[in-house]
Amino acid sequence: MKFLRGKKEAVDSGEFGYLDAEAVYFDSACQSLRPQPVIDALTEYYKEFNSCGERVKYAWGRKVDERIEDTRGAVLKLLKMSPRKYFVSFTLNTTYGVNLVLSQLKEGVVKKVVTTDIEHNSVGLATIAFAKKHGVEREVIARKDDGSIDLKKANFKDALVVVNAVSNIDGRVLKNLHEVVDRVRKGGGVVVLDAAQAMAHSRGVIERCEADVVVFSAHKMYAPSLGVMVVGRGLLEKIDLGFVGGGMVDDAWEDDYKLSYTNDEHIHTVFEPGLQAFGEIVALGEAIRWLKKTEKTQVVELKRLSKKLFDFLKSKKGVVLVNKEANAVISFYHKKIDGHLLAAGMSSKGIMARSGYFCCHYYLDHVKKYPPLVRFSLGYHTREEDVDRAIEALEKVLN
Amino acid sequence: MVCIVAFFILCITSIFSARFRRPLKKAWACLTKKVRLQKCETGFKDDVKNSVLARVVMRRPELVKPLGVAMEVLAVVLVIVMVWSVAEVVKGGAAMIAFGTCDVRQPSACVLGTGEACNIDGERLGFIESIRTGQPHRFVTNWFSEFGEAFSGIPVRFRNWDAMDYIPENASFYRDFDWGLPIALKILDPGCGVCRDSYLNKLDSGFMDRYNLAFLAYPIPGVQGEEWAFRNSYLIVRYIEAVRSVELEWFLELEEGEGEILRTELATDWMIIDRLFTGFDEMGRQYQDAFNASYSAEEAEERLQSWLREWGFSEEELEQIVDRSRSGEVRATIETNMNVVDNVIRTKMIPTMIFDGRRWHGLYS
Ligand SMILES: Cc1ncc(COP(=O)(O)O)c(C=O)c1O
Repeated sequence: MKFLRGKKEAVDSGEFGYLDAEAVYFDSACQSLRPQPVIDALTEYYKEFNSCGERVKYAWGRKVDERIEDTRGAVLKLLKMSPRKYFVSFTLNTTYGVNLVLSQLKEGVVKKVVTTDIEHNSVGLATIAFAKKHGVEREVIARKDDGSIDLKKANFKDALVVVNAVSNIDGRVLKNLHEVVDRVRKGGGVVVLDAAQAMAHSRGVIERCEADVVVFSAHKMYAPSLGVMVVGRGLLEKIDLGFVGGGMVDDAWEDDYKLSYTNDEHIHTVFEPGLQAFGEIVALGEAIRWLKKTEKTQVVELKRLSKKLFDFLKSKKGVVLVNKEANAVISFYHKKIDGHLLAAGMSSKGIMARSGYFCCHYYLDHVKKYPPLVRFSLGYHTREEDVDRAIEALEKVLN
Repeated sequence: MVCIVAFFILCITSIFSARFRRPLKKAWACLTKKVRLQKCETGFKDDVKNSVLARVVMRRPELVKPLGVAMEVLAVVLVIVMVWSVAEVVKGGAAMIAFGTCDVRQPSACVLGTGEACNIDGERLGFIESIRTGQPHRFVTNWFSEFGEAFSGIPVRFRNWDAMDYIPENASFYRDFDWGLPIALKILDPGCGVCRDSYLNKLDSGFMDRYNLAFLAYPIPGVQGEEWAFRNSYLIVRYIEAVRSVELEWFLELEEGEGEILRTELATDWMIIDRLFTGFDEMGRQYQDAFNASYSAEEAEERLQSWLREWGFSEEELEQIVDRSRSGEVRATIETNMNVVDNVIRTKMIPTMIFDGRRWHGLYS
């Protein structure tokens, strides 16, 4: 039974039963593990209707088209966003999605760019590049301890605002997300939400939001590796396409082309140059189905386990927690032991946790001047005994 | 430092297992500082250190710090040792090319290819010895002078060698000089067994019929308090030089038309060598062995004199030769010859031969 997880329900449901029982994985914030139905969906595509969508007339291809349509619909439904206002495009990952928007925004649409201090490099770097390219001011707002933005201090007039909904450092949530979005839009700006960390366990915060774009990575929400962009139709007026190619045009001539996205039915092609990851898109549909079905009970267990680990770490004298409260993402450092060494030490006991600055080193290294951190990020595959294993391994070390 | 050590260790382990080639590439990148340390990742050095410390930290976290320091120190020591050993290899390689031995100062200490030669060993100040006597700087300067000697020896080895430049002026050729044949010089020590073997091989192969061969007698100095490597060599060489010197005088005193007195088949210096290398005494001992191991200085001298008598030298002539062998003139000649060998020809191994434009070391075969 070595390759079956100990947890009876998981084995019974077959969701993560394929995992090595000895392996304890705590890096869901980077990439979540995939439940068996998602793996099956991907395999099914490869084995049963592996083909190109959106351009063919044969049976397999039509099946691909249907499933992809379903997934686009499922994404909008999951976020409770209206297909009349939004459409879904697929891309490589969050970083790509953010860059596709920022690099194609028309000149002069915004007068400045605003972001916050706890952003991932995918947002941090992209906004720096944008400011340089357009010669506009870039403002970095400090997020409050509860994750919100102080609206009294913020000036969003004609601003491009790029922020995360949930932080990958400590799971902090942008509590006043809707007010922020509202303010930006009223001020004539553009708001791009990085929902990479929000989608798996804190989706509520972005539901029904009115942002211009919501970008996230399917691989952080139990689906295969894939980027997803939920785009407000109104944004397209502000886009100057420079990233074009196959799958995007109705017709092409010697020195001109007619883009398909102007036709409402193909609007998503605006950000989809070239062949898409059809299998992954199909399997994302399955992941959404699986989440909806199971998360209500799973999220309770996840919260309980996160709290157990958080309380353990908090009880240790040498530990300095970055988190203010328990969360599925917990970062800390030890006053005496190097974070990377601690991660390597845990790895020697089969426990996999992240160490370093998780691509947020502007904030963690330069603003906070923390030493390299250790991060546990839990997921729906996490069992009580995984947390116990971590606690047991660290019990002596962290004193 | 850790990177350098890891790189060298991985270089070696990679020969045996492909598993180490990926870390080897990383170590190389780390070494050449090609990687700009990305903050999302740790450096290779920490990976290496952590791979060892990871197990320690979970059990005895208090040991991590001292162990980490110990690893850094160890790395520095290992790097010094590695740099040193690489330098030794380079030095040895250069010495091998220049002198045919990897050890400039003590050729016999080299395990490579010195089996068939008699080595001219010098004294060396060991590292421990240098520390003990409070002069470690001498160890260092000696080391570098050996390094220099090895490298400066390379062009010497490959220059165009002409035996004629080094043949002592009073030496004789094995056969009557033949203008049609090239000239060869052999540097030998009468006590050296390999010189004897070489001589026998040359006789067998008819070398002397193809070359005008002369020899330079070089008594190899001893080490560790011994004056000479072979105890009677210096005596024999003195007799050889005395015979050469006296016979040259006799030759110059000849009136025009008077014929040279040829008492023996070969010139007398060659007769001594030939007898020494090919003859046996009445107890059946090969002469060279007997001179090296059995004869006292007096017995050795008597033996040489008895040969000269046997070859027809009169008592008066013999007396002249014996006197000459003890003279400062002969000692000076030997010193000059040795000086040529040490500092001009610069060989570390005997026999050394010069012919066909090259310098050859060791056994002729
Ligand atoms: C908050 C946040 N934004 C963006 C990203 C970048 O995601 P990706 O690497 O999938 O583009 C991550 C990944 O960890 C993240 O946590």
